[in-house]
Amino acid sequence: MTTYIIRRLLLMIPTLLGMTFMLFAVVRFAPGLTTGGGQFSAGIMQSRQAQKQEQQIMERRLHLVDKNGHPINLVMQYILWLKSTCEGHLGTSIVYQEPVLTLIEQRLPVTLTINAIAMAVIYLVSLPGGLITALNQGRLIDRGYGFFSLALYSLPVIWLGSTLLGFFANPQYFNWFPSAGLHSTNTGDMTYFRYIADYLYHIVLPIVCSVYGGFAFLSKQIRGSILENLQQDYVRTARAKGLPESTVLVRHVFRNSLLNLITLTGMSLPGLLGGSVIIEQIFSINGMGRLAYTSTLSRDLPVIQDLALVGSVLTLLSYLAVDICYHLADPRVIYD
Amino acid sequence: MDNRFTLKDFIFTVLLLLIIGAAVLAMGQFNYVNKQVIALSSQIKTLNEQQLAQTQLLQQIVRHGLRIQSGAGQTAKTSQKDIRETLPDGTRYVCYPNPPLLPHNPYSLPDYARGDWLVENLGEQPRTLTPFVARDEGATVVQGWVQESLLSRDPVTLKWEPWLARSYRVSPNGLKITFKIRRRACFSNGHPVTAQDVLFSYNTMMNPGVDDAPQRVYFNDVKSCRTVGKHTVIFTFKHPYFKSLEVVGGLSILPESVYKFKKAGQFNKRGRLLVGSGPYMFDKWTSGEIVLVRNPRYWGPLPTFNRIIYRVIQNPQAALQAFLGGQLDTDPPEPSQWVKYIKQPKFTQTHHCYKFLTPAAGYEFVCWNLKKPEFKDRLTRTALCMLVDRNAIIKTFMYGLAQPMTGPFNPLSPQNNPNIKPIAYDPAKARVLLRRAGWKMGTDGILHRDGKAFKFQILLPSRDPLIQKICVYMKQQFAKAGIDMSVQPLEFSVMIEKIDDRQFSSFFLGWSGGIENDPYQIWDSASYADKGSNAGDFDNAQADKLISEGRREMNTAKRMAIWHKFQAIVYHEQPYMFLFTSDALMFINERFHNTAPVGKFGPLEANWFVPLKLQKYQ
Repeated sequence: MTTYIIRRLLLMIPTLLGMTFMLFAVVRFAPGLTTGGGQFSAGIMQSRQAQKQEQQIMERRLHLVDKNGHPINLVMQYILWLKSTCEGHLGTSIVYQEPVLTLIEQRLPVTLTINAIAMAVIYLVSLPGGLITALNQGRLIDRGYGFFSLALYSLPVIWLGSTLLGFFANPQYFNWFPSAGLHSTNTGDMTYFRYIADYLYHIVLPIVCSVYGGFAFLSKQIRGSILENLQQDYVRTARAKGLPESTVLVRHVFRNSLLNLITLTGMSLPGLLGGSVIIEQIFSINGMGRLAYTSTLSRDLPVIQDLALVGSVLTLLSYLAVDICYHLADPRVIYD
Repeated sequence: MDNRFTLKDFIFTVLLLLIIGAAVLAMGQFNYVNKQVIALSSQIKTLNEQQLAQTQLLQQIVRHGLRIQSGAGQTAKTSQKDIRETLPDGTRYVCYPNPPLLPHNPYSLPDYARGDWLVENLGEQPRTLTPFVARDEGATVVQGWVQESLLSRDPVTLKWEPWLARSYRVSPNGLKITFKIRRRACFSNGHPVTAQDVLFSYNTMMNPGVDDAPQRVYFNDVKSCRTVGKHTVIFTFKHPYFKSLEVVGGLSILPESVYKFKKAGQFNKRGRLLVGSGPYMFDKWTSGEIVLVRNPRYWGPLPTFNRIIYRVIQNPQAALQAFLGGQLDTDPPEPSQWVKYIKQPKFTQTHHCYKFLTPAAGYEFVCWNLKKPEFKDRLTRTALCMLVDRNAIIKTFMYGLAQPMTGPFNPLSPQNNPNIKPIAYDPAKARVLLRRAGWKMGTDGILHRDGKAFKFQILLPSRDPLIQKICVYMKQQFAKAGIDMSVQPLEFSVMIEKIDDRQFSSFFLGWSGGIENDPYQIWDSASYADKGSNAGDFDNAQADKLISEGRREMNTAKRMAIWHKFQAIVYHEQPYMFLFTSDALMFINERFHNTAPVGKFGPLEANWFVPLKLQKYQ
């Protein structure tokens, strides 16, 4: 197993190199690089002289030119960037003038909380949902659940988000939830418990939006694997030796069906860190999604590169974690 | 199968319960500590309020000796008179012994009370709050409460009046401006505002390492800045320039004691350091809001609100709902929202609704590339303008909440020539003009001249659905006259690159405004070369001459006459299709009083107050 892990880790290096180069190239060839995507200034209402000075500063900060103003070629730029990244320096945002790490620190907790709660809710609903629908295959409850979860899956989040906002955070209809942000304005006067309650109250609608589309996929996966396991010989054996049906289902079938979940969960882990741009935009949440989106628009190169880098590293690591978990959960899986 | 509850399971369960219990206890403990902190901070608040009352008392004593008046104390007449005169040698001298009070200020109103918070929306999270470096509109709004400049603009007369400066003196040739700083003025950290701070602010602005290139170019004409004693600053200029006073008088004054830096990079990176002499102090900036608190040491009239909070809600629908739900105190609605709510008596009776035009508003336009053969003659350009019914655009797409433009100057600005009327919608006359310009209808239903069909492309920013709608409307109008315009939405930066490289026939954009604009940047023929802002290549010798005359003319009346002539030339040539300038719209929570628009800038927050009974926050 150890050799396997080491081999996998070593294999990650070329993969990462390829990924970073792709990333680097795509970002460098985007138009409007040194004008900050035109977002820097309000419109183009600034004199040519200012634009030029700005461009020179940008070029120097992006390491497109060296200290004397001579252009650096693309491969060299990539190597320089790689070098500083390997030394552990994530970049400094050009727009915010703050280290990328600080920006992530500010935004990650928000995104992580919402995504973690959303994921928990999805699993809490989908696991029993998948089990029940599999056991009642073809009956009304199976069809109904399938229909509704698929219907929810096909609702666009931009529509549902705006609708929820328009009806449930609107004094003209139901003023049940706040329409924006994560806190009330007077949090300073709140006790700890009230603060938590206030926070939870504010994230209800965003969580609803991140949750509703997730039921269909997960429930269908679980339903499928349960049905598959029900056909297996060991189930017949268990039934034949007289075990009660509930034990057969929970201890044998359900347990084995959960193996599939390892992959699904593992793959969705990197997704926990990336916020949804649409949800964050609708509910005015300042999370990771917005950071990535605004950085792209303003061509904030260091932020885009580092976010993508962190994302790819996490994805590779979670793939590895999935494989290891498989081995731990199911000793039949051997990699060597 | 061994399914019993073993000792191991028992220990695990107990441990789990213990951990959960400990967590709950810790939360309770945290809650308790929090309560204590809140109690303490309310005590501190009371102390602060007492300090505030004492400050007010002291201010009154300083102003009027020991004759203390009842009521709010800012209204007494000053014993020294304001001076505004031109000396025999032509020097302009303005001296205000006391800072000018805002017109319609609330201090003498019977139910005036200090207190409460003002919660507004910034719309977009500022990227940084560093003075000079920050460019977002939101940052400017926040800085406006915290930092001050030597002069401030009077909202009614639009003139620059002494503020941190007690007086200023402009030499007859306009090449030297002397400011004397008010001795009372101090920063929120207690340090007095001195000439050295002004010099420091100027040097910071001019430091090439500081990220403020767009602002720095305005200071290009400043030759030197020097201090005389502790309270006098003298700016000298290379050329006379009509904006000199505005440029140096409007410079934010930073406390050197706080902002001192060795390397410019340090200055750029202090995104959360905002200190100044203004009525409010920067308190904190969390992900969703920026909090300003009253500056208890403020040297001028004590501000009304205890706190000003800026939230960040990007979605206009959410912002309006937050306003309706009382989470925001003001909301600038979208035109469609305005039209919807203004019809509901229940809404208008319980909210203040204001619609106004400000002279600082920008305008939308279509720029023609005059280098292209189809746009090179003014008859064709005038005809294109006549083919588009701007009143219909305003009525349909802007819900009537905009004004047509006749030239590059805002209708409310003194720069605008009132004798020029917008070109009327007249397709018949447009056809005549097109014929006179040499265009003939071809068999394909498209106009031709010199063997070339009248086909062109218009570039527009893809993020703005409103502009897309207007362009589609224009396309239909042009098609009726035999002109084939294709609409090409582009991402903003791509569009700007195309404009900079002059690879366009026409484009749709907006310019941001100003009270008195310098036309040089957009209209002088010298601004075409080197990717300048005169992208369409407007090249008119007479206009160039007027621009350079106007820039050097220090007499306001004479300068306005020059701008009026300049505008007449632009109107005659029609290098742009000038479209419209939008009205500013504002909804304000009803608990605020004295919110009526003042002068030409609309409602001024500094004038608002909440009577004691209606106050919402402590």
